[in-house]
Amino acid sequence: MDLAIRAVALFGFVYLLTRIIGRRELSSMEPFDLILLIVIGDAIQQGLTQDDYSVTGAVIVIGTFAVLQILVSYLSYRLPRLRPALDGEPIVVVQDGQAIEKNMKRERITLGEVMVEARLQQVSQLDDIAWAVLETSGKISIIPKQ
Amino acid sequence: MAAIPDGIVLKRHRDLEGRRNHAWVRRTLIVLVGLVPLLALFNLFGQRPHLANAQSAKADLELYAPGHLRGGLLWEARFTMTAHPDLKDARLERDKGWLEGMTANTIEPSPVGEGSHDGKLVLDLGHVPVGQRYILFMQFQVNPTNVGRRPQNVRLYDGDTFLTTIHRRVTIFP
Repeated sequence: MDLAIRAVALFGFVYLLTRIIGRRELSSMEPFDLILLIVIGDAIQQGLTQDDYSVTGAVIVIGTFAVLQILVSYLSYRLPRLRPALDGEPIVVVQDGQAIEKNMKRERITLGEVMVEARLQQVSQLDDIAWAVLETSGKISIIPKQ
Repeated sequence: MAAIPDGIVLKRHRDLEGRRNHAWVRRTLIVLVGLVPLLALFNLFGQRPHLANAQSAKADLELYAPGHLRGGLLWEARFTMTAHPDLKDARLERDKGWLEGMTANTIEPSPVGEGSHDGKLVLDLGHVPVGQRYILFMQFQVNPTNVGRRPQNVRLYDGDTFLTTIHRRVTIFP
């Protein structure tokens, strides 16, 4: 029982962290971010299973995570009002070649980052961007002008 | 203006209508998350030890141990007894909170005897000559399932004569 409770608590905490840290930070995986991710995973594992090395313990923890993940996904699907809180919402950061500063500031995105994404999608000029949308995944979708 | 992408509602996703307070909710949560390590620096979650002491005409008792712990931590309690007149048969009586959900790794020096008195744990330390200090080290590990607050009062006796007591509670975080 203790393991399941700890798994629920840590799932909630990690979910909260991923919702508040900011999506750009989570979507970019620099070498430092990768190391940090491993360290966080290790810290969570120690708090979760502590001295329990049993297969039963691992099954309880993994099972709890799986159930919670499915539950969150189900709630998000069934209750649209909860979706913004659970998954977030897209934000328009460029429209018709014009950067929307207040939205970029809110998500701590620079124009440089938008242009990196634009170049990756074969768009070289800000003026050529019809829409740039920061998606809930943290990726920036670039829709070029026709 | 280029056609609005499907699924994008300008009022909601560009003008952020109904979402203005979301940023503040997020900032507040970030502050709350950041508050946890800050409080940890102030020893709210253990395990920095602190000193507690009690005096009597016959003996002084001092305890140096953390009052806040977390599951799995290794920790130490140091008891110091100073005899004013001779203590012929010093006995240290501890509440069961000292061992409930704890693993006792070491007791040094080993007591002369051990026993139970009305559900409390008794260590018989033997003779402590006048003016001398008797230092007892105990080392523990918190069992991972041990959570909550437990009484850890300590009483010092000379034989059956009560001398002094230290009142304390330990808080164990999950």
